[in-house]
Amino acid sequence: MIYFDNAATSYPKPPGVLAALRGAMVYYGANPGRGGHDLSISTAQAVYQVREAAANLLDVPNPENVIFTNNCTHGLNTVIQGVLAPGDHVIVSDLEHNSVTRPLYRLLRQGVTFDIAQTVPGDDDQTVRAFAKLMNGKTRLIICTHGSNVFGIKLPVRQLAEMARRAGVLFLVDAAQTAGVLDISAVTDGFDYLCAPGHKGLYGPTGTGVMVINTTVMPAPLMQGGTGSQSYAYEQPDFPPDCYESGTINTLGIIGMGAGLAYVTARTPQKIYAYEMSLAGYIYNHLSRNSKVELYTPAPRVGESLPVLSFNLQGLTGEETAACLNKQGFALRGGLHCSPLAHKKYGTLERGTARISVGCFNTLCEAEMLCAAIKKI
Amino acid sequence: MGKPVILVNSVTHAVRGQKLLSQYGISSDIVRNITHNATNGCGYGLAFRADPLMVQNILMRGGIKILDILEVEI
Repeated sequence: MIYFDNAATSYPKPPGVLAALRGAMVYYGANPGRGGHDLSISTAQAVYQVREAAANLLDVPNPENVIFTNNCTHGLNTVIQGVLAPGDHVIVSDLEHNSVTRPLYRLLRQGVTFDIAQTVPGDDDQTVRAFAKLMNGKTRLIICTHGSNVFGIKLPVRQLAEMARRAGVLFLVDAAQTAGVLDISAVTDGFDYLCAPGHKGLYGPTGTGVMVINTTVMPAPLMQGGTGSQSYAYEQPDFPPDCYESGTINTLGIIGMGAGLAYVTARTPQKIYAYEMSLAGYIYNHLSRNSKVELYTPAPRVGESLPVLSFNLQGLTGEETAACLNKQGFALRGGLHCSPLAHKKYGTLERGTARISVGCFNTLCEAEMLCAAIKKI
Repeated sequence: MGKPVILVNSVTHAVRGQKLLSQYGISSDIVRNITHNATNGCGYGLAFRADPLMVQNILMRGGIKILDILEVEI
């Protein structure tokens, strides 16, 4: 199987991740923060190292503001449900994933309202203006994907963060497709919250993610429970990371993610991005010469796009195309990719698309084989 | 004479504090708070052999909240 579904989850994982998972089972089997014995302490130290590594990669000054989550959706829900109250207004982009829109649709019933900003791919200024036009006195939060999981369009989160800050509005970035791929800095990007999966561009196992808090406005926790700290108190601790990490944490997954972080940090997101973009560009050029292929975006450009391409073949739905390629040994995702807003924008809501998402372990040879396989359909 | 122990909020704070102190050449051990009183039970502390005031300053400058300072036989 040749794997081009890295936007869903990256595969394969670096060998160090497998070794770390095995090592965690053998050497870090205790519950961190729950005991005073040596194994519990050493497990807590191992977990902290991962927190610190994530903070270094995302340029977060205090590692305690990196919260471990089960996935990106978990973090997004924590922020969305934790900072909004009845009467609040939210602005989102027209490329958001259901992990953003579904919590908002639920909150509509509680009196939260939201508007959708029409992004303008390739024109960051117009995109920022589209968000600015929707601001009103009740706007509490702006949520923006850093890059579309369907069409690979990168959005100007730094400019949006600046605009939000000037307006006194909180700003949440969904970095599902960009953590580990693009340079991210809590210090210079200026977002208030950022959520990312551990199992995509950070090359950790599934069931991992991080939420970064870069503001003094702390979302109310989604869950309450045992944290191993302040056990005398009937109420949840009010300090991060404990207030957001109730219950036994995913030690195994977190330590595995730590090895993924080490891999990404050593190879650097810049080099990973440049490599993946070169493969995405190669594939796009080949597909654009195939008269049966419908493409929806301009050729991927460094700085404006992610290594994610959506396409369709004449007479087929995205699911059918992906199924044909699966028979030939290629793993692509077809359908709506949990992002109906993005499909509405590009007129692909009926057919969906087939999606090629490049990872750092894909090769030029695999890209050539994929293009040849698509040509044969 | 026991070792001074600085109690902090959580194991995360204790690990960060330990790393912070090591940057100043102060070695410390993370220990479970064994005092079990109603205001700081189930927490962690850092046991060290250094000037407690200096350690306290380093931790506080690093943003680590100090709950208590004890002397414990370890």
